[in-house]
Amino acid sequence: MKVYLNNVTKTYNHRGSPAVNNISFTVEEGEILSLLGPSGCGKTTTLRLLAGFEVLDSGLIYFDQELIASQNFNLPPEERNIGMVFQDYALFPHLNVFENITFGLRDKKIKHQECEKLLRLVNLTGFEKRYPHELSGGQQQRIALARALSTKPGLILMDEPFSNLDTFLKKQMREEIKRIVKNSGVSAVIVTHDPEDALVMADKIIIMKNGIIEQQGPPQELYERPATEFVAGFLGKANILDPLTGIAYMP
Amino acid sequence: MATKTKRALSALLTYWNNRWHKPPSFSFALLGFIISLMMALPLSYVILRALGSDKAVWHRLFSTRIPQLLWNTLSLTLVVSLLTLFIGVTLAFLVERTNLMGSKIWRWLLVLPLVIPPYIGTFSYITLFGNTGILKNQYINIYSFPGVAFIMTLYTFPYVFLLVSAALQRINPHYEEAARLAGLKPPQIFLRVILPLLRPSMGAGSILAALYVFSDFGAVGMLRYFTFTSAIYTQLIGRYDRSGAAVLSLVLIFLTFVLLFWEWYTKRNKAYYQSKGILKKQEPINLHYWRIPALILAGSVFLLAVALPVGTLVYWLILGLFKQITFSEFWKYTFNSFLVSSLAATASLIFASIIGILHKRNGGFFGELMARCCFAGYALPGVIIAIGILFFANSYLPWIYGTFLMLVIAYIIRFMPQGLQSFEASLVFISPNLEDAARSLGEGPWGVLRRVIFPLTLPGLKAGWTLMFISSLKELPVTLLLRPAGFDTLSVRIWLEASEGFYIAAAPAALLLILVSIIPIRLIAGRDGGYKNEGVS
Ligand SMILES: Nc1ncnc2c1ncn2[C@@H]1O[C@H](COP(=O)(O)OP(=O)(O)OP(=O)(O)O)[C@@H](O)[C@H]1O
Ligand SMILES: [Mg+2]
Repeated sequence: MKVYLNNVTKTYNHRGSPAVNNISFTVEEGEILSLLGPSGCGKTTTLRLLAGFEVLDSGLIYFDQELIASQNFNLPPEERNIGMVFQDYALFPHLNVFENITFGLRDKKIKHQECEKLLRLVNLTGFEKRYPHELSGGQQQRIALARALSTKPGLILMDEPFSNLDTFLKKQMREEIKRIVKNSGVSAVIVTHDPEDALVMADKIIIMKNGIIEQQGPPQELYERPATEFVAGFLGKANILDPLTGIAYMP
Repeated sequence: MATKTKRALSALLTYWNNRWHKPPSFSFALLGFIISLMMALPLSYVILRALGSDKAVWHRLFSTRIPQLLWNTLSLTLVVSLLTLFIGVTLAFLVERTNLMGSKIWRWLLVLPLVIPPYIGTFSYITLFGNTGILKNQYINIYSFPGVAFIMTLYTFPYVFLLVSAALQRINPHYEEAARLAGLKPPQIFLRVILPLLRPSMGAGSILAALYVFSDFGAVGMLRYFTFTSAIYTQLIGRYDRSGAAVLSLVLIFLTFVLLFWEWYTKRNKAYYQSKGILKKQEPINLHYWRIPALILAGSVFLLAVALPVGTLVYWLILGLFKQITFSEFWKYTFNSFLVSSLAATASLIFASIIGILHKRNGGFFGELMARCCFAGYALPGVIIAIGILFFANSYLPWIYGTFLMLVIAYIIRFMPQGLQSFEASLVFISPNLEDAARSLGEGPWGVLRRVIFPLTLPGLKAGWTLMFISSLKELPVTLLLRPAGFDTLSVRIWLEASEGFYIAAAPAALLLILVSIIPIRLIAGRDGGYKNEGVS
């Protein structure tokens, strides 16, 4: 699914400044886009606008050719055909893995088959009967991903998917998630405040600050030609070695 | 023209959206408005009625009854508050901080008086020391100020006991250690460190006790002591003076609000002593030769508040069984009680879920307003709610006037907040992300309610239902005022038999009510049976 955002603005308190201010970007079919920026810059808000949990003040959002949100129209989240992985995973504590994954499936007959397929995709075959509290953090995350993919969404949204994982697991999960998303062919928007996540996973990175987009482009481009000092400084924090020279990148 | 209406509509919509944290659907909001209107109506109506009544009525009451009633009510409240403070703090300290024998058991036993409706305790004491009591003597007169104060204290000190115990458990031990190092002796530490730290909880506890004294009807009524509640009742039932009853109610509403304001004021700067995390266990203070007196104190409080009244009731029950009193009547009013109470609890639960979601999830000004409206009936004495409903139904809803529906509505208004509290308490543990997750998987708002919120709040809903059911079952003044002619309930029977002196007949009802009231204690203790990662997800 292709996603267009056109001059989208969202203000929470009508006296305050906008949380998201006149932003535009597109996500191509099958692309992984990463929203990157410091705390409070409006990443979550952008994601929730895409999901339909927040109503925008002005601007337009299209999924493929279809208008799904504008100033006086908001397609409810359940009709948008999106999947979402929450920061806290939001697995239903009263349901086991099987029931969680098949929550959004209407057709009873295909439930078992689908669940098995998804569990195989996330490498957790045989976990059907477990309850969320019986899973490790990384396993919970993969179940959440499987659940998000269960309804065959065109777009998958992830808010800080790695913030509850330790460094080692995080490295592993980045690769894993990238593989799963690429295999299932959905478009994805991943919110993170860790530049390394974005540089490793994304096809395109958007750097935000105070509700506006500082720069967008492929990782390589942002990394090599930061447009502003802010972008340079932000990516610099990643402390990644320059792939060409092998020296720590300094803005 | 069309653009004008369009603009007005869009302005209205903006206003609407800004008054919510997250706007609900119109139909759901409308439901909420209707419920909160119903909840706030009787109170508003009493106030209007009182303000609208003749100046002469006000003048007459202020020059005759009100001064005496104020004196009766306030002096009783003051004495009971002081006594509950003394007993409650002493017992809490003994149980939490000393080597009192069996302190773990006392922690439970000393809360049990809350399980006994005070009018049942009073009933027991009347059967012992009343006019036709079996232990009647010239030294003990329970139809007196000391008698009333004594009984009220017995059944309200647990408020102080509970709150102060909880505070004692949370005091940071470092304060006391610092005082120790500064050279203070234990009694000085108690007076200069612990007691000041306990002040907020002592205040809150004694205000709860005072609020109870304001609202109690059964105990004062049975002992023929006139506070506002019993005076309002006789004004209405004995003298058919509705304006008078409304005026007295307004004074009582005013007094209650003063207390509530005070409570809010003291709570405002609470909890500066709280310590987070796991505290190391404090070494209990050795009572030495005070151990026996301490044990006697705790024991006699329990004896007087629980053992003696319950024992008396059992005695009457056995006597009744021997005399082969028939129980057919008993089953009839038990059925009545259970019918109205379960109807009220079920309806309340539905209302509470709607208001709870509007309050906690949609939030904002309107959500807050709705929740506030619903608490109106809870904070005020039942007599006032009953009068409000009586007036209102009489003028506007003649078709429910005199039916048991009035009782059901009154119980809903009176006790729905209990359900609201326990529903909201379990709702706040459910991350809104779970609801969003369900929406993103294709569920609509009602589906989310059914498949996510309902199963996850089920423990809270069950607890809420039970609480509301039991409160309705025990309720006395509202039931007396609103029941249809001939519609007797358990509580009504106890009231009637107490005055008619036919004690044997009331004992089974009283014991049944006490038994049923024990259930919530277990419920509260078993609260942690929820989902293990509730807090995380
Ligand atoms: N529900 C809300 N009501 C009012 N203001 C909000 C709300 N949600 C977010 N905001 C404000 O909007 C701005 C952007 O918030 P947002 O959650 O999108 O930031 P973020 O980039 O996700 O930050 P973080 O990295 O800390 O999660 C912040 O200033 C925040 O205070
Ligand atoms: Mg965020």
